[in-house]
Amino acid sequence: MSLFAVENLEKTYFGEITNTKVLKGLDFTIEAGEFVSIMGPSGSGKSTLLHILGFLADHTAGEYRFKDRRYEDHTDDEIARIRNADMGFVFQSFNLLPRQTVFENVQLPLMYSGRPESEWKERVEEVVEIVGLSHRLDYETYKLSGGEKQRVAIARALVNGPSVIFADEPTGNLDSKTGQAVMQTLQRLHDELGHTVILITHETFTAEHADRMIYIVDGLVEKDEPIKNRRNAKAEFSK
Amino acid sequence: MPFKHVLITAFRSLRTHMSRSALTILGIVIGVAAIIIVMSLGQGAQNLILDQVSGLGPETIVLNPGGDTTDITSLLFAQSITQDDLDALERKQNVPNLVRTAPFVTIPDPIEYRGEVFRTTVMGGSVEHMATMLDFEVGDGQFYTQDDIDSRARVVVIGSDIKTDIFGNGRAVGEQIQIGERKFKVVGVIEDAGSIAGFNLGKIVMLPHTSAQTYITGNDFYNEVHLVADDAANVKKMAYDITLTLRDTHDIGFGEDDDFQVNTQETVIEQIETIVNIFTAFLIAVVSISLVVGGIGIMNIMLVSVSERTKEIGLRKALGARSKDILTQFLTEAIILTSIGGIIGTIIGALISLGVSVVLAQTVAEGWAFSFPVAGALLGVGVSATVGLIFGIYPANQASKKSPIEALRYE
Repeated sequence: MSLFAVENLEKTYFGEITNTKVLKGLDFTIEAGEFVSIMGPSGSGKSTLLHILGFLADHTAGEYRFKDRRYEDHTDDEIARIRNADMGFVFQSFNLLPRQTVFENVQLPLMYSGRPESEWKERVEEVVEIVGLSHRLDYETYKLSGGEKQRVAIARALVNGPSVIFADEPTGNLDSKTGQAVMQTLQRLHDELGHTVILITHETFTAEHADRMIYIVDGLVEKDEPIKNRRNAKAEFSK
Repeated sequence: MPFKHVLITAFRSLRTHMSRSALTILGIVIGVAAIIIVMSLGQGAQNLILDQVSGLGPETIVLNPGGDTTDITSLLFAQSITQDDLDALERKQNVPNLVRTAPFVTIPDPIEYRGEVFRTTVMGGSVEHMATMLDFEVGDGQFYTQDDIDSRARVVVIGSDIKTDIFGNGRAVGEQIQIGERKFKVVGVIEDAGSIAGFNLGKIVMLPHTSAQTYITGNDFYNEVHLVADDAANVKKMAYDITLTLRDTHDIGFGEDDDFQVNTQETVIEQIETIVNIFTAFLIAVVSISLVVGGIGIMNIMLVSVSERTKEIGLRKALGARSKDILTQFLTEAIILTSIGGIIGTIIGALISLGVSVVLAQTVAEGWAFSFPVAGALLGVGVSATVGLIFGIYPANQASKKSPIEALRYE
């Protein structure tokens, strides 16, 4: 059983004048524990694909199965539950609540998880430590640097122990050195903690930190192959 | 999401826009304050009136001639209660609980002193009964006695204001004033006691009812009789006994209407309460309009807030919030907002009512007491919370329907 399976997946945006078909029939599977980068030029449909895989948007044709269950077989509450428990999102623009502390931001998914409140604090501290921000726990997030903000977002994505982490251009708003630090964290999540990571990027350099690359052009898979010489963010960071 | 955190999030969001939140609830504050003021002053007025009415004492029954209460002329000129009726009522076997009767005759004539005419309230009756009931005393001279009543003495007791009108600073006791065709001797002046139970004691002139019937009205009819029961608990039964006795003495057949009225203080109190309650309800209905207007203001601001926080809504949904969670969040904010408005309105309303009560008590209505309408406060806060619920549903529903991706893309 694959974690993700898409067959002839299509997505069309219906406009008032014209309809735009963004995804034109994709086929692939992703297994649990993989580190996949989905790469493509801007406008290729990669972000749309991530939204569909992440249960944030639906597709218009073809089939999408998560853990062998079709997307359309889920109720709205089940979808919310999957977003909360199975998936962690890291966005290009961080999407933190600026007036709330690191602790409160990371705690947010726990609030919707139904887990007992007594477990929250320990869990937040645990993941904040993974991203190395324990000393910033009580800082309001607008006071943090870009790299720190992205690490808070990663901690938030991790807090419910999801099976998949989606990272949508996670280094897009960061300088190269900070970007490397973020990539290092993502590699650690995969290599040491065993998370499935799906990375969206338009940069070959960033994409090469994964084990496999799906290259999308104009709504179709052009290449889907393993990366032979995977970049090691830790080694590059210390250069 | 645990409700504690829904509340924390709601308070935090309202605090972020402190001045906007404050202005938003102004309509609710004014509406609830107005309701509290109307209810408080209504209750104050009711208490004041009831205080005056119950000045007669709960054991007193008032008997008036005339049956048709809708015809004012028939009431004014009704002649159905006589001394024979009183004698029948005073028989123990007829009305066993009766301990005292006090008949009154109202005299339409003015009084004259040395050719000058003074218009005032002249009534025949027992001044001692009035003094006991209304708790006043003689200021100068003395009250006429039962002996004066029995002997139809030509004596009067006058109020302090009418004494000043006629005699100025001079002494009134011993002087003669004219009522109708006859002269009466002033034997006492009532102390300056203001107004009690609706009677302006300063303007009153009283003489024995026997003298009034003999020398002025020329008949033996009474305009009002006070009948005092041995115990307030027996008033209802006594009213029934009085009715039966009078129907018997007046030969009123089965199915025919009474030609007299027996009013206990309870019936009078009920009538007054009904009138004040109707009036208060009407005013509340009017001021409730401001609550609706306030609610529309809340709806407007909540819609602005939903639009401003589109990105946050999207994020929360992406992190696992259900539509229901978002709906609860915004609805809670609306209800908290209006409830705070309700509480502030109640406090302001109570303070204004207190101020008005103090001013009223010192100026036009002595004895006016501030009363805080507990029911009004609960109603005010409850109604404002309901306003929040009703006018919050639409914006909260709009928020809950946002798609996470559309919302996250929103700038």
